[in-house]
Amino acid sequence: MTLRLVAGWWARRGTHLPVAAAIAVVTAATVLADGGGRPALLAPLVVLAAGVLPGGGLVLGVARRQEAALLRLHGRRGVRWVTALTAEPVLTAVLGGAAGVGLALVLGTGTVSAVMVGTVWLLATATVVVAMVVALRGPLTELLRPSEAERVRRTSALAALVPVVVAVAAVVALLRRSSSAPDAWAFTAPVVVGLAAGLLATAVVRLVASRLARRPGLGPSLAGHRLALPRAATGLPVLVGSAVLLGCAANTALAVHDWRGDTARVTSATPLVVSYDGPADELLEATREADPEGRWLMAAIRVLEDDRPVSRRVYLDTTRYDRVVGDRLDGTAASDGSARLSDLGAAAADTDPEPVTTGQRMTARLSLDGPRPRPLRLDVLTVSPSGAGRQTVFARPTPGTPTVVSTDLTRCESGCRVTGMEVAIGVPCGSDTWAQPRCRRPALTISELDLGGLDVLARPWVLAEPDERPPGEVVATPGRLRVRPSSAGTSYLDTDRSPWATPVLATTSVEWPDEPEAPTTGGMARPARVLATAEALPVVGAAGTVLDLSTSVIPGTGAVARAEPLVLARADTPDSVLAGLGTARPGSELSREVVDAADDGAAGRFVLLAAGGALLGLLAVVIPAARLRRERTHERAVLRLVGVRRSEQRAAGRLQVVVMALAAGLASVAATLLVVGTLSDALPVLAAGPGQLPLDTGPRVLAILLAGTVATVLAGVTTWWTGHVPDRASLPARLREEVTT
Amino acid sequence: MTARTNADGDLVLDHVSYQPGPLLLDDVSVTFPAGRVTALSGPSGSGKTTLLSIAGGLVAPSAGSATYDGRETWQGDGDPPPEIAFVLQVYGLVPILSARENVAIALRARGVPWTDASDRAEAALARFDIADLGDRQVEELSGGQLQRVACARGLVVGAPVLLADEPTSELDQGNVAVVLDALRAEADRGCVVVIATHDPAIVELADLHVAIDEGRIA
Repeated sequence: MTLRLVAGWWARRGTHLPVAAAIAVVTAATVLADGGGRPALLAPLVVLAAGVLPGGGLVLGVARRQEAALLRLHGRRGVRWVTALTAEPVLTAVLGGAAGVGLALVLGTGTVSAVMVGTVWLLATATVVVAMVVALRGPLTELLRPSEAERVRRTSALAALVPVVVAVAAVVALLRRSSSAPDAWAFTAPVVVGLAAGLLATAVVRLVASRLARRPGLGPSLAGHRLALPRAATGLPVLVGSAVLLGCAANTALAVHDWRGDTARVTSATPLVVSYDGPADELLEATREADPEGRWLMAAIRVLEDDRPVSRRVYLDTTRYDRVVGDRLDGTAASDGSARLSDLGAAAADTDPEPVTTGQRMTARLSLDGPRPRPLRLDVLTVSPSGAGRQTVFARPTPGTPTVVSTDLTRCESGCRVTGMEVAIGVPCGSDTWAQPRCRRPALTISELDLGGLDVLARPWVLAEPDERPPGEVVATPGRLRVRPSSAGTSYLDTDRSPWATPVLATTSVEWPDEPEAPTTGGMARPARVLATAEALPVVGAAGTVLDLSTSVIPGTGAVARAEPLVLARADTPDSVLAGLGTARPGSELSREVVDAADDGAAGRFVLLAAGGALLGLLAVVIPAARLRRERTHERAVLRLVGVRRSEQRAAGRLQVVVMALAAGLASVAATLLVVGTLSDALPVLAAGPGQLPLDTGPRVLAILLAGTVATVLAGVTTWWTGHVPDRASLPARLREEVTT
Repeated sequence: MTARTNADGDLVLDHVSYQPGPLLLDDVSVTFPAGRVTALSGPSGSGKTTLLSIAGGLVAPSAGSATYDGRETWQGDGDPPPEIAFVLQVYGLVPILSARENVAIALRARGVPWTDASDRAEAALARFDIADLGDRQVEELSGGQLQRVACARGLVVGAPVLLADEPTSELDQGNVAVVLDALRAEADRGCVVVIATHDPAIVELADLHVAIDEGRIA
């Protein structure tokens, strides 16, 4: 029994081996997908296998018709008949499964679910067996009939629904694309569109074939008749589907590769980076000392406080940007932003520094309207490297008599900037009492307000928070400020700091909670002016702001806790220049952690499995090709017998190759472009977090060419092999006793 | 009856032996004259088909020669010379073509324009009462229908030599007569017609009879 099984298998090894190869691919893919933690990657291969394995089973059935008929003649029926026929395909499945597991182990894989692998293997085996049995159904007379026409027609009728299902699925995939779709569907959609394109290509081949068949030339006519056979392009949809999957996977892998490269380039802006241990002013000085001409080094301070775009910023020594970074970020998402760095430097240089206090006392001359003295409080709001401050004086002026008050400044040792003012007169009134007469406020006139040498009255003042109650009033003229507080008792005044606003570049993702701000390296708030926005910017990527370093450093002050002083250096920086700064490391290390977290290698595994899909595509055309080749051998002998010249037969063969290769190639290229343009961005291959560059899944020529080339070559070579029958094998003499039509 | 006249237009086998392994033909010398129907008979395995194959240039003889009109029929590549047409026992039709196209292709191979070839093929099929099957794929035809399509294709080209291997084995008496009439007509126009057959009736109707047994002329 065993010997007979092995002998039968060996006699039909040409039919069994492609089936075993298909099962090996599916099994290996299952192991790789599951072991890699992304079982969804298996889904497209399951779809492709569903297009290959039944064909393998059918061919196996056709090859065993005589044997099946003999079994029936010997009285085997029903389960006994099926069991006797099942041993061979099961042996094939065992060999294929073992080969697949072995292949996956060689390629390397993680922990695998034996249940999943076993289930997929069983399904594959069952598909082959069922297809084989289906091919062997029917009356005994039909099994013994040499012609397969009736059976082929019946099978074709059964398969007529498949194109409809595939076309509908492809339309759904294209119209209802969504990044929230299940991973398995996202990976499968490209294959479905590819299958639909392959079916369309098959229809086109048939159309072309019908035209060729009516051509007067014998070569085109023969080619047309051959191409018109339903079995001539059986594997084309699966081949195109697999090529589209491969193209899509390659495009995605290239996109992820580019993303990694771009992220590394953008995040450091230069190939080398040195983590500097020292404050910002020393960093600037150190780089300028080490590289006085600014040829290689650029100081930078990266501050990534949290994931919000507004909290991510970098300070760059913009005067050196063009020479040190130049066009290195061209072609990345930060290309436009990088081009605006010189504008940033120029704008920063052109912006006047905001006046700061130099002294340590505040003096005010105050006059009060009204019938009686009232207690008042005057606060000048300030900001300094030490943080926000409030300079406060209290007074109880007698109406009509100017009063001069003075106090020491607090937290202004490094100089303070004026940010606002508050004037409070009398006791506060709440919402239930503000209408009472005691809540009416007299006007305060400030005729002099010196804040550590700053003339505070020289700048404009406006009410900051008018409210619904009588808001009070403010009349500001140079040298004089008249304030009548609101009924609530306090007026809040704003001043215009825009003349000194710091220019910044911001990514389009930045949303300011209030007015734009540009903290210094020490964290002191400054008003900001957004010079330009860009999709991405150097160092901060797709989320953050870029500021000029030299105008953002207040010497002698510290830096915020999350500040990373960096020296960015060109690749050709001499070691002697870097020597005193620290240890240089690749710029990509700045982003390695986040990049590795975002990219778990799914794109690479996708390509690997898609390559397996391409193998299934090859098998899809090879399995029927073996049978076609046998038919072609007989046909060629007949043509030689009736005197058809070999040149005409060769012309027919060439035409077939051209039509099939073109149909497969063009359909694959078009479908890959369509898939890449519409579905790739939904593929869950990268978990790019906040601030990281977006994954650009636009079409890559290499990937599109790969899809087209694979489909063209496989279709062309298979068609050529099918028709390329050696002269010795197609001698007309072989027709003497051959029992066939 | 055997003949060795060696006139122009005869098909001549001269001391032909064929031994690919076992000896299948042993020093066979025979002439198939033009304008005559020659019946080639013998038991199964006697070498009839092999003899026809050598005569038609499909197989090279191990010794001796087969000539038509003074030229060897074996052309070195296994293809028959254009002067020789076959009706094979196993039909030898192209499955991907319809019955009409199977007949027409023999004409088109000889340079007959497509439309003319199609018309003549139609007429040839009509000659064997199967004009209505012209559009059917040959895969769909019965054995008898296939045999008549093969006869139509063999006769349609008007070759000067027609070698027919059991051309009536699948046919009923009525169609046997139709086929024999057609073969007779070919001989009447000066064609060499050789029919390998087991059928004594055909032998009776033939002008000449060559019997072969165990590879030798009996």
